[in-house]
Amino acid sequence: MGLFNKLFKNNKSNKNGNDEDKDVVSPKVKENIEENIKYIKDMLKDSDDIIYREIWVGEEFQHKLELVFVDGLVDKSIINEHVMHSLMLDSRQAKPSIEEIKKNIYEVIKKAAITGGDIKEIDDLDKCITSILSGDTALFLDGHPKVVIISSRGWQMRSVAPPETEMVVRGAREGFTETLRVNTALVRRWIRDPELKIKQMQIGKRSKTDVALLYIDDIVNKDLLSEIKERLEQIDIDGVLESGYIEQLIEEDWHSPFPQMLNTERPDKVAASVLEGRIAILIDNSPFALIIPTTLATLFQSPEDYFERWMISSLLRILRFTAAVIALVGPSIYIAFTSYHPGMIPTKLALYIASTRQGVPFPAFMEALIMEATFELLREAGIRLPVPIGQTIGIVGGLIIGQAAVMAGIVSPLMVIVVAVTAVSSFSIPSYSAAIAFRLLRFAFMLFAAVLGLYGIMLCLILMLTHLVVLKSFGLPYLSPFVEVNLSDLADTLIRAPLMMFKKRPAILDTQDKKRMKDLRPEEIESMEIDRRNGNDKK
Amino acid sequence: MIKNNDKISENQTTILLFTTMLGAGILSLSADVAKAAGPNALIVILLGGILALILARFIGYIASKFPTETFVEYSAKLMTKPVSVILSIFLVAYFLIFCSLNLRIFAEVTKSYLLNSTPVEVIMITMLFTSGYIVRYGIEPIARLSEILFPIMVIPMMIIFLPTITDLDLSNFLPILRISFLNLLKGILSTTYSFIGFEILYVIFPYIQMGTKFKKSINISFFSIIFFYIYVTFYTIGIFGYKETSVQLWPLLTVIKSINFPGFFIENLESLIMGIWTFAVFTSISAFHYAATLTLSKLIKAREHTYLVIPLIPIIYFMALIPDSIVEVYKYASYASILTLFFVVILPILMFLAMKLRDKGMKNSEKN
Repeated sequence: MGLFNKLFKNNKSNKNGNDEDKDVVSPKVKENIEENIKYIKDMLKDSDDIIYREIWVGEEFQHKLELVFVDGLVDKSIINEHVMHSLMLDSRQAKPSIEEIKKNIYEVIKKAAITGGDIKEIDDLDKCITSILSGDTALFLDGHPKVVIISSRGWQMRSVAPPETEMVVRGAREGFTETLRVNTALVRRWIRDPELKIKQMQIGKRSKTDVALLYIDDIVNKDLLSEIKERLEQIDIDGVLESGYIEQLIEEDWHSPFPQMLNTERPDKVAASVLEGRIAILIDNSPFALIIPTTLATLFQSPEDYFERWMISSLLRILRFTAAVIALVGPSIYIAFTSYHPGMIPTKLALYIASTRQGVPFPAFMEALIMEATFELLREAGIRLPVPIGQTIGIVGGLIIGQAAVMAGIVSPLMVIVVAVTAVSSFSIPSYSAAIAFRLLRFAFMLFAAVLGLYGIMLCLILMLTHLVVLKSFGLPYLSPFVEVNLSDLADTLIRAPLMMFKKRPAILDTQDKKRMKDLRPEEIESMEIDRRNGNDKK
Repeated sequence: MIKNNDKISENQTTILLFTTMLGAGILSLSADVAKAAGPNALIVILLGGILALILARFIGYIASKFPTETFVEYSAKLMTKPVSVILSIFLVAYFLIFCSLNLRIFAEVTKSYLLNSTPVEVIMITMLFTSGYIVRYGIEPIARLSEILFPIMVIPMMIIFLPTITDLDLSNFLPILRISFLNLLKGILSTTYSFIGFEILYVIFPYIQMGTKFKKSINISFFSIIFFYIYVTFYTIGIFGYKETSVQLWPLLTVIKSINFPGFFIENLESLIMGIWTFAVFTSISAFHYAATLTLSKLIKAREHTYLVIPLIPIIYFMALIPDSIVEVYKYASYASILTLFFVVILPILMFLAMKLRDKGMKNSEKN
């Protein structure tokens, strides 16, 4: 954190400097509407998507009002029906006393005329501009030093769709969208607890991106919360485009290939994490939520694990961890055994490998490197291409290149199998960020295996583990609960123990409310069942 | 949750002691005890282990009287500054010697079993730098790494011997206890090298969390390692008989080479064991490396031990190169046992006496 801290500290001093500047310019809304409009027009000049609409109301049309909004960001129907229609027509039909209108038209408009749902008044013109640019509508009234902000946000957005990177067989099929409000609502639908807090702030000097912290107030660890808030406040950047920005700006170790925050598209995963006592960060324009803190074990969890029976889920967990090991060391083991320790594999297999490698002009390392690089290329091309062509790439890559390479004698068939198994393994890790970390490290392992054989693999493994034991995610050791062992936490790592055993929240998170469920053993359920049956019999 | 105290817990202390003791010695242990005690090898390991346990508890007792200080500081309090400086230098040397012995044996074994054409120097340098990488971060990551590696080391080692149960010949352990006292003593001495590592207790006390039951930690780690050694030796001697075992350099590897899982894909399990053993040696080397670095940094009053990690690497490296052959390595190891005798037997007694004298002196001065 050393260097990072320093960076933050510098930023802080810069920020302070900016704040002083800001204090000077922050004009208040004037009484004269023309002045206000002129200021806004000045600030937003050369922006042709801003619409200024003048309205005259009152018995003799003596009151001038002006609406300012951004075309495309607002829901036109709100403005037409709930603002303009009400102001210009409806208000005429149900007149309060004319005297009162003359006296204080402002109050009447605010209280009785606008039928829009959410309005607020502000007197700061710069804030007013930010609101306009966020999709709200500003209503200026002549002769009043305040501006009414009507919430009219409504733009073209993607509807809630299945989360494409995290599909499950059983479980909800809703994924986050790009709109923050929709995303927070999705989480709210899972947890109707008044203690679920959605704390919003804006990050980015220019982008002014909304960032929301989600946590349950009486569960979350307060130290963790204040630490996250502090780190978020220290960010000083012009624009935040994706949650990846936030992730990289607040993480502890930017040297690490491992994700120190879990990103997910699934609201149920966010809800589950928040219930465990973690904190989620949602940001506008990004369908990926960040979950803090994250440990290596959580990267192997999928929501489905908790919905299916525990034995099946445990099997899947073990499978995933095995897959991670294969994805990490698969090709390097092949390199080590074929080029350094052929005597260590069974004789028959050794002979078979030797026969398939006959005529292959490259050493095992080059062979593996070529095939792995080809695979990565195909994968990358597959992502970029449109879906129908992407499948073609799969066929071209898998069948044609693989088959052709073997036929041409450039690689051995066994190598193709190794690469294929490695690839499949790396895709079975639920977290994409973790999977790419393993894929990257695979090349380091291959290099070590090429130089030092099996011993090299062991060294590389030790180096990786050293990095992992040093790594922390917001103060939480990355490998916990495997280190600083806690038996109840281990029940949700390599295996997924029966739900009955998760009576407490993860101890590593050190939450305020530790208890998750009442001690309700199966026998008790059974006895309840019997009681009920007896009761029925009596009737 | 946001803690960074750089202290290790009770469990971690236990495992750290275990993994530090479990090092290069395990390969030759059964040969040593078979040579010295014949069929009574298991009893010798048990007795040797218990003796080592008593000594470790004794060192732990003295060190626990000064829970915030390392050997450098409390030895100065107990026996004047100059003596303490000399002893500390010897302690650093002691850690370095065992670090380099482990390293050299590891390199020789790796060369002969895994990398026939790679020079031992390359193996040693890569190992040392890997060790340096973790030692720079201090004791907490070392303990955590031990925690991670512990099940990876122990569980496969236990399972791997199971298919050989049919090959065991229990008559190899007969006749029981028909051994002269002198030979028994010799046998116990021959196990010393396998238990070396608990001397880190001299320096790690300030880094153990307050309120830790260190006695429990020491007991558990010693009993588990005694059990582990007996388990391994039981199979080795049980299969080969003590005569055959005693003439081999690394009987453990030979016995594993002979294991055949029926219908199992892997024929030669020594690759698996070599991998596990790399972990075992690494944990010992890094613990010794850390202990030496720490003691030295306290000795020269450096603020951080980090700066001394790299300078020690060439020293360990050249020390490891001194013996010309593997036979000589074991000869040097037996010389080093004299230092062990001093550090685990004589020194604790001396310090214990000094502590009693000091307490008496303090009481007297209070009275006056």
